[in-house]
Amino acid sequence: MSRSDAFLPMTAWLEQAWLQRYLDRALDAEEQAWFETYLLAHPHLVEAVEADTGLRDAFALAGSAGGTGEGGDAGGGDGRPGSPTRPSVVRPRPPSRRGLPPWLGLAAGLLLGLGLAALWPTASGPGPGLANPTRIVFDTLRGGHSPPHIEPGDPDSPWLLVEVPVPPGSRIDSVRLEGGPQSAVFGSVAATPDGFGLLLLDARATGNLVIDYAYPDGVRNQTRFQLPMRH
Amino acid sequence: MDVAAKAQSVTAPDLAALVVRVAAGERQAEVELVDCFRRGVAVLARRHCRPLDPAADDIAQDVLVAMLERVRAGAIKEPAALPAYLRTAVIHAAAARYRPRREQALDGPDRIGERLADERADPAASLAARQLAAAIATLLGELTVPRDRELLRRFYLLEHDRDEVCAALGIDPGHFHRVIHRARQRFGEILARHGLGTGPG
Repeated sequence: MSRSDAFLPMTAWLEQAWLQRYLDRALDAEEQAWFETYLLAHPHLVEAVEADTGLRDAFALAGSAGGTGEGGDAGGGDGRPGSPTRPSVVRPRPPSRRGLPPWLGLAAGLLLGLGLAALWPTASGPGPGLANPTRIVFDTLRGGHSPPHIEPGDPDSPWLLVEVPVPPGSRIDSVRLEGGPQSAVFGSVAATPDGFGLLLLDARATGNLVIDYAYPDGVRNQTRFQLPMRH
Repeated sequence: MDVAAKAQSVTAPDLAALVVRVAAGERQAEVELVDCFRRGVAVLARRHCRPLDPAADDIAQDVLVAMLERVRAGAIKEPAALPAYLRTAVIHAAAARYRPRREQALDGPDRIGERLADERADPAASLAARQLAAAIATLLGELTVPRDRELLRRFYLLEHDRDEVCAALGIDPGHFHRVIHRARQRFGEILARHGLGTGPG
């Protein structure tokens, strides 16, 4: 293959076939080298690769939290790129320098890849700001009705990451967004061990978040958080 | 001609023209040239580095800067070779990153200190990262088909190749793509069910 081959466009179906085999790691070394070169010359393919890489990063991040049933066969970690790695030695990117972990981008990219584009807040699909949305934290230390802590993110991000506190150990049965121009209903939401529910909302969302949750003993309760008008 | 503004593929003649403009000292052309390859180089660096290794960003930056310097110096005689050059540079930089080096062993304490400084830089953000990690770990635990979780775990976390995964889980290699697609899909549905998406607006 000559170097200029990378610039010759393939038909869409053939391009997708190569991409699929690349993401499934089904290419041999020479094919991989060629396709990665092709990828650099055809940036519209990059998004799918970013989403897949985000999925890998998410598993590493989750593995570092010990939640993937990580067994003793976690790979040899011989140091070669592409070889098995030991998640215990990888360090999540320091959020202070890099923004929020990239799996946020993965989540949406994954959904888009599944054809669930309607879940996107905009019809345009993922943008470069996806991995760094504005973050709003309703902190129990600030009291239930004090203004939330807002960490500005990429102003072009279509997403808004909202963290709502619930008592540790409780289960969030449902979350509703009401009182604003948009309404939304979520099902049950996993709470972190520290007692936060993480919600990824349309960046334009305003109104009240109504959280129905249950204590470990089954007693139910409800709490509300008002999203700031401007974030 | 604004090559960087194009959402679609770069063409060889476009790239050749850009290279000429950069070599002539045109600053705007430098921006366009870097923009052509920024995302591609970044994602390749991530894929060839270990998961979540922050060095991937530095590698991508270094590779782009080196490319720019070579183009400025008129050292690129065949612009069509730039993608291949960039890809090779990323591979070499990533390999160097993980090659055992004596100096890495010797400067261990400094590197540990650097890590601690990073992690202490913003305790709130660190906490957020831990919370997010715990949340996604919980979601992964909700995959009801054990094979799905094991498939995704082996493929993405342990980075086993397709044949290893198929052999371990008794999957016909010819069906691998369909099986992993379905596992990704189920995981995506769990993410959606837990609020990683908006409801009807």
